Amino acid sequence: MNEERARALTEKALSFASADHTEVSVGAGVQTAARFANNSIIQHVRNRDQGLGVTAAFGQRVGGASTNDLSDEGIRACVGRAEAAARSSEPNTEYLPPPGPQEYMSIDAWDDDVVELPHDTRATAISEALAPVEAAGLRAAGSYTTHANQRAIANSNGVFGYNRSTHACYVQTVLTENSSGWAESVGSALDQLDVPAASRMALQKAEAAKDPTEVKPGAYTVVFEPAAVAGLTSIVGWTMDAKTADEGRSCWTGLEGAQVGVPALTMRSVPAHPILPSSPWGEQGIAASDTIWIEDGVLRNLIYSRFWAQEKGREATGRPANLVIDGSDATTEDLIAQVDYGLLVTRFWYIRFVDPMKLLITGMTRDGLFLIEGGRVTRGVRNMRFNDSPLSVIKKIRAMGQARPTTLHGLQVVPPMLVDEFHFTSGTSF
Amino acid sequence: MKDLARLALDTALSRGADYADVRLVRYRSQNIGTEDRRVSSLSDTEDVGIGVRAIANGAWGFSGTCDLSPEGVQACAADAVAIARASAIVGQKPVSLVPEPPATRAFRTPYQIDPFAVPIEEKVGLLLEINERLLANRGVRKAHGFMTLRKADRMFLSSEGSDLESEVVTTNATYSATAVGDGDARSRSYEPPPLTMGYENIDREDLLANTERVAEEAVEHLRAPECEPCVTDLVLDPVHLSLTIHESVGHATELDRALGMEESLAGRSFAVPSLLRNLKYGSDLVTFRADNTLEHGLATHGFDDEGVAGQAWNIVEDGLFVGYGTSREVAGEVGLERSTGSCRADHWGSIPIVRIPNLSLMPGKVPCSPDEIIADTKRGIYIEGRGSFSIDQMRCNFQFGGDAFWEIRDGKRVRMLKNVTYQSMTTDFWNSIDAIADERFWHMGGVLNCGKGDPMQISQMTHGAATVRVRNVQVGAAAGVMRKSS
Repeated sequence: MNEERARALTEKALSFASADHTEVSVGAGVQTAARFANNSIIQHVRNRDQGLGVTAAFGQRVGGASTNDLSDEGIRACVGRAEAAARSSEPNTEYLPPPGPQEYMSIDAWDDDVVELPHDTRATAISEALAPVEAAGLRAAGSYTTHANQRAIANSNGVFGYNRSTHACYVQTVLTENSSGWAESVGSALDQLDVPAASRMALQKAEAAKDPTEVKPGAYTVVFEPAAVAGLTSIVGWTMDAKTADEGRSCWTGLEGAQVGVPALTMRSVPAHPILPSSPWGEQGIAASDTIWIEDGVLRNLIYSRFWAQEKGREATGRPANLVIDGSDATTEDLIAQVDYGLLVTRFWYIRFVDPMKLLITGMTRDGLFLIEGGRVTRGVRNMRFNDSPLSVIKKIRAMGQARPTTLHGLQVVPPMLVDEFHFTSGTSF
Repeated sequence: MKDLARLALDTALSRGADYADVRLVRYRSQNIGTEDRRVSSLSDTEDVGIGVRAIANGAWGFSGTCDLSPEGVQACAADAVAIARASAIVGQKPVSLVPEPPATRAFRTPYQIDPFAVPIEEKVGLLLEINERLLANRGVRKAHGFMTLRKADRMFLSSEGSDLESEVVTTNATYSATAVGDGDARSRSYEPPPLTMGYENIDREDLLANTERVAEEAVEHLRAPECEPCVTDLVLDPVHLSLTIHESVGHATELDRALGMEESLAGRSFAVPSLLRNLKYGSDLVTFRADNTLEHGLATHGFDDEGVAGQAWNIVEDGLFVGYGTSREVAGEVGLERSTGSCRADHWGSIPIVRIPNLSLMPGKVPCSPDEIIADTKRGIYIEGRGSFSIDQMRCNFQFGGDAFWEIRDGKRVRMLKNVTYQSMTTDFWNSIDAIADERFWHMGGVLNCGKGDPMQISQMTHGAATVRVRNVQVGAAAGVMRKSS
């Protein structure tokens, strides 16, 4: 769906509209995924879809509808359903009319090679990545996925925006008899992907984790790799809603302007990030911009919706487009070298809230938990469950390394972190 | 529409597929959310498309498209075959499907009231009335209501001659109240079961009748003392158990996971095929029955997404691990001659994968009520509803919270508690069950948002249970960490 087609579709939808305010979004996408396990491709798919969404408002009575039928009849029916829903509803007292024309930053993260990647090229890349795993007599599982999306927004106040983006991701887990290792490679262009390197890393981790030992639950000094950091920082990014905080229903209540993390910590969103870009617009088509959430450890901004920003006399921030934390030049090995006795965590699994009022969460380590002794990794460790709060973690960061992109927990570019006193509460059987 | 499906099937075969099936599905859904006295969200979604699955050169290919022109579906089918051929580059063993007799039939959810024929005014009005009643309690500062209504019209054709149609309708309404004060906020929810049923499942009288109790319990929850870490007995209600069953039994007994096929995302399972009929999964009281014919069950669709008829079978029988949920591809790996019919896709554009069936803990065989179980418990905690949940990727170590918690002392519920979590290992937990209420107290819960697969797919299934007691479970370790830290 090129810009011309997208504009025509939005104009068509707006021409059918009779509401006080109408917002339209259109999009088309192609997704491919080759999934492998036990050294074979087990699922291999391509999916082409398109869609149109309409939000209609009569005063503050608001209704939404969507369809993937982009014929004139389909669009007309979709507008009709949105307007019928709005007319039948009761007011949404937080609804604000959509904005007027916006200046959008240019984010054209599009790579034709992602779109045109032949099926057999994808399969061959997997085959080559699996060769060293098979040579080691081991098994691997993973996926090679691509996305290509073209989208546009428009409204009855004159907004129009068009954007397109591609994304590619390779993940691999290598299994030995009693251990596993995982790695990922992600980017918006195919040449940002390093499939062989991800395969080597997963293999190396699995072999290093063989015959894991058991350590007692308790508080440990921990080096988190970027994928593990992302599991914790995503919880920070998702929960910083200003309205919830102002209503006393959040751990962030009263913390704006307070020192919430170590002075080295700055967390921001960068919609035009070169590797993991996001959309040039946010809520109701408001132009996205760089946003600082935490600066030098101080909480600068909570997430302000348009409505709550107006209530509080603040700038609307929208939700985080992505999360970027700058680290240092240090490598993960440099961080490990600073630990006399502790653990190295590759990534987490099944993170869930336990007590949102304290930001207490739980989760399991996965695919590479290692013991650090005397500044080096000495052996694998059986996986463990943690219960801790990212709010505590960001106060206990001792050092950070080189930031790397990860999409395991949303779009994030985050560094490995050395953190003191992280709480593991139980072990498991592998 | 059937002509298009037939065209896709013929195209796949003419391109060299050894097997192909086609699903043409149209979805309609409405989701309504309310916050306090406003309608926070209201959406009405329609979506239609076709998915073609093909085996060529012994490997799978799948392609989906929303382009329902003859050219569009032909291109989609040809793409599925081309993808299958590419998949064969990385294959060790050709795909083999256990037989399924071809069938021609139609399935329709038994329902009385089409949820999309009910005026939106009525739906919105009900949710706002619920919130108004919740907010009538001065301790309640926030009320949320939610309603989801779904319909899927599906057509399935296979190269083996199956010609199937279904219409599945799903409905659910839930709400919660939150009390705020003294630097804390605590909620209480009401979660009637999501069912494949018409709008008659949205029971206005029942929803309204529970508002006062839910509001009061939200306020009591806020004032409740923290749970102290300890080892104690748990009494668990059916809604709570729906999630425990889902995570520690349902996912653990998906055969694709047990064979390592889900490793890269949702993980594997400790319950490997060598443990079939060799593993004491639970105590002698524990039988888990899968039943995709269960009336109003969320996975009751007549047939699965590879045309296998709905069936009932045991997963755990008198404590012994005896069965899996399967697809036609994996069923033969454990010697089954027919798939259990547990292979479903969440969308026309998604490839079907093994999914948890309707899976229920069967009620106790001797007369026993939840009140009698509590009366027979000297020290323990009674948990209702669902809260925090987390389990490792082999489905062993889990930690669960809940929606509301009461301390049991000398056979009585004495007071509410907050921040209760319990942690256990799957087979330790189910082997520690020493009481299950009888069938009078058996209740269907369910999951509408089960995530699995890569790309992620969201599925739904029912889990029924009656109240149980579990002996000697570790409680409160999570909250204990925060007290140590502060």
